[in-house]
Amino acid sequence: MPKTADLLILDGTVVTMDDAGTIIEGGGVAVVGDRIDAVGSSDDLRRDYHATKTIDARRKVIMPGLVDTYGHAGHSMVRGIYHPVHGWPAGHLYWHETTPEWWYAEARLAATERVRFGVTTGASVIGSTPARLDNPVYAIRNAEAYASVGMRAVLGVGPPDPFVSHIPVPWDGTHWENGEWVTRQFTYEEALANALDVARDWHGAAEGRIRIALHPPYLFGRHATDRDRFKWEYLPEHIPVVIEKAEEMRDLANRYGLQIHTHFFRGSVEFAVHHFGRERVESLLGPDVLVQHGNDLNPSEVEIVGGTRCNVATSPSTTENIWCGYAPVVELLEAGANVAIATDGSAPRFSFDLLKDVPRAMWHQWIRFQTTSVLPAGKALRMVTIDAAKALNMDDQIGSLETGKKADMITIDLNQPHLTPHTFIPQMLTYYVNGNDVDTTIVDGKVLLENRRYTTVDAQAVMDQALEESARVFERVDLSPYTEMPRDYWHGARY
Amino acid sequence: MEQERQQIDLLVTGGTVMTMNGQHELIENGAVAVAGNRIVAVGPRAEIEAAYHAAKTIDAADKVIMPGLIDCYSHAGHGMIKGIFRPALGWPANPIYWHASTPDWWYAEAMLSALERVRFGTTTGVSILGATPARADNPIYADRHLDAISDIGLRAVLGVGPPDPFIPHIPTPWSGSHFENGEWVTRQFTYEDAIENSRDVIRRWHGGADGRISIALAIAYLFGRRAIHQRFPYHYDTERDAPIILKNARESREIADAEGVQIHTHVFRGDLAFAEEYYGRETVLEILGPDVVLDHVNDISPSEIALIAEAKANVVTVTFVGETVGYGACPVIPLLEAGANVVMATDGSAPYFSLDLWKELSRTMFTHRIQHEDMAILPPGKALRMVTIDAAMTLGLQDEIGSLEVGKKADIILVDLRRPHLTPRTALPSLLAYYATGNDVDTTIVDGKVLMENRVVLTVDESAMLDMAIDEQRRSLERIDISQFTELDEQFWTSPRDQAGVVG
Repeated sequence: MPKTADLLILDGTVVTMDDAGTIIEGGGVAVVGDRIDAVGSSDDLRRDYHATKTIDARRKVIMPGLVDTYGHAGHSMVRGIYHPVHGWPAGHLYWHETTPEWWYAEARLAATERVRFGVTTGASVIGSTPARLDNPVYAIRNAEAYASVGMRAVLGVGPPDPFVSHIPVPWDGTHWENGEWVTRQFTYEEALANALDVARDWHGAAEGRIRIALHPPYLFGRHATDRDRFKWEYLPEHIPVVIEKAEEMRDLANRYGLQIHTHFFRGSVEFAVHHFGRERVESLLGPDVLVQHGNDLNPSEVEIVGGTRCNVATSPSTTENIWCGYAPVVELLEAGANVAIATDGSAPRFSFDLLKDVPRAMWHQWIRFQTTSVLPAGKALRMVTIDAAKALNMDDQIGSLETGKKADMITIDLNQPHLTPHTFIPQMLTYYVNGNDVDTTIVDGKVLLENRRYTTVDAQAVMDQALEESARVFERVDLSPYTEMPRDYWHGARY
Repeated sequence: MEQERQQIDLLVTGGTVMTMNGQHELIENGAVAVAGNRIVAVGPRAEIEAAYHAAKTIDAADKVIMPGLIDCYSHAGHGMIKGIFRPALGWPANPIYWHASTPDWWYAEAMLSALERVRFGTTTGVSILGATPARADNPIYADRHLDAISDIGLRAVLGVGPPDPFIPHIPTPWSGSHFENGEWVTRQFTYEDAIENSRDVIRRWHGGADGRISIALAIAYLFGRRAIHQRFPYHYDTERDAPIILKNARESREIADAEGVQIHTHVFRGDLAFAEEYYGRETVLEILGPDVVLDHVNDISPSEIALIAEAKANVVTVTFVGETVGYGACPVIPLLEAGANVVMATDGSAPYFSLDLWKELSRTMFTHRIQHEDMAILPPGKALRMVTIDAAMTLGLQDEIGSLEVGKKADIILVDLRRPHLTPRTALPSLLAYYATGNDVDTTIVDGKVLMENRVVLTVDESAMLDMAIDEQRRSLERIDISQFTELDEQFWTSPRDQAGVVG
């Protein structure tokens, strides 16, 4: 007697991303509720299941949804608004020009983009670094938006860094209240309390699809010189505060069962070890810590990050590669760290298309080692699926197509000239596919995108709303320093 | 009284026109009018619509109307071996091209790659016939490639020429296998045979298909290849080879002059320094010139940069390519500052990149910004020029294509902005340079003819063409075992390093 499945995807090439690297030609997946009930040959699945809904995956790859372990809420509204000398207006906009509706519209846009690009789980820090937590409403509106689209999301919340604030001290944020703009100061403690409020209400919400992570921007401060971009110095009286805050984060993470997502660059770990001792530093790190960037960590830092089994989200498209140098991904892997490839999306110069970052991440290591024999394509593919799920401590639930896991999956249309012939499918996925080749996106067993059509959102309305909200903000802000196009813009080797 | 409107063939209207003309005009709510294969007007929508009545109108609302992209360097053949690559083992391109491909295979591959270009908004594409060296042991392969280009309607430059006499990419004595009367026949051929076949292709095809097809003389290494590379462990015997290299280079120059075709060739670190040292600067400058296109140009010295600039030769840079791993990068910024014309290209669709020229913009900008540790390198506007008008100049076609201007050929694409990743569209040229991908192109027009509209290819049956490519590829893989390149062992999935095939 056949079982009833809610969804059957049949006749595709299943790239399971399980530990054995199983690939099933002419295979499929059966979904019951929000879970994968079986993965196997289409013949077997046809024999074993009736389905309410069937998706034909001929000349398609069926694979786990992509997991983007690091991005920013807010950025989708400021794409391309960037000048190499004048920078970009994100910080000011986020803190002083945006309403809760703006944050909602932005998050809907971002989630819609990610769904289109096959990202089923996406992490976002609320705002630039630091996260905007002077009022919990901004994070809440983001969570509501991701929940409404149906994606799985991890929101990074937390206070600004007490010493390296991107926003002016005393910290203040501007809020649109009862028809007017009101600027209010806030403290570290207030922002932390707001972050914990959001965590209490939203961690595990939307049937478990929304999760919260603590995001101290720089757990051990920021130390790389970054070619004079960040010029802060730590005074002797700051140093005990750094460890005090870091230990507080560790306590909160333990108490609430939250991950810590934070930036490390060259010197962060070394600074901490120098002042606080290796043992104390190692006691704060562990498999529930996700290190963002990790650029140019030195060998002793790599040893500590790897030895404590931290996760690293490397972002091959970001400016940090220019300011700090590449992330030592191969060494981190060899030292025992789990490394994921992430977008750091989606501004000022790159999208949420996580697949574009796979060859870039490989390429950076090839250039570092001057050989194509590092970071094999299969490993790179794991770094946006199962290894990325592990980086979010969700690998028992998502990241591969295996019986019992959540039904987060995508199909990729191979019947296109740039994907034909597709002799060696894993390398087609790493080198040739881009986000636009995803044609179906399923989260928690629910189809969000089918044949490139959205089922849970009206994409045109989402884009219209985003245009409207961004226009409202841009009316008040002079963007010309970022968007001018002088002669050198078109003709210069340099700006 | 309403003015009589001029009858034209095609009106593309209501989008933002990014002209890429000398002033880089952007026209919001603009239009382009096309009569025959030429642009007759570019301007605001209201003006153009008042002046012209078109047989066919394309609504470009929420789209960018811009010149088709120009890809100055790729390889015919590569479309069939996408992704078949293992780092230490390389890839099976040469055995397949030389010994397992039929004329129909080359037709199918050309059609497949042309379709890919049409989809990605490349309206003019250069292809070297085969890997380096080009397959010119029989003109049939070029003929079948060009038949496909004619059929689909793309604008193309095909590079044909002899293998390099000193570099055994293919077994010496040179031989190629041909499928004739139901069986495979292997024949030897000489440098002279290949030159003769190339001349034959030039004479029959250059300017063909209503001028859409050009032929270039593809010389693998005009001045030899000096720098050793992990995938290129060949040493020249300078005493033996130098006179022959010069003789062949002079012959290439004579052919280019006599037939009015360009020379496309590879240059790496040391090649031009060698030529200058052995033959003298004047001789080298007699051979180089504005009709020479230098591919890759990795890791060259300041004096080599100066030589290229003086010769006014064109440079094609490819960012993510094996040559950059092992050599340094192409010094794009110093070359531009020395006055050279530098453009971005794909280098074809194997072993690990597609013909999506859009991806090259952000990759190239970013690579050089990393190298210079400076964000203020390669502005997005310049990057856009490097795949449009500067690329047209590279091919000597700047009077015909590369920008939307009255009198130019109507090679036009539309980029659909109604995508989440292209919303909001505040700084449009930067948004395109950083965010757009080939798949965002939804309409492609070449020579006034609509090849793709709303992502549907109109001039050929796309699905049948894809099936044909899959069939032809399967047939060739029956003759060549590729399993060593596609093995899915544990290292492939889990190791930070892939040691398969690494010796020692």
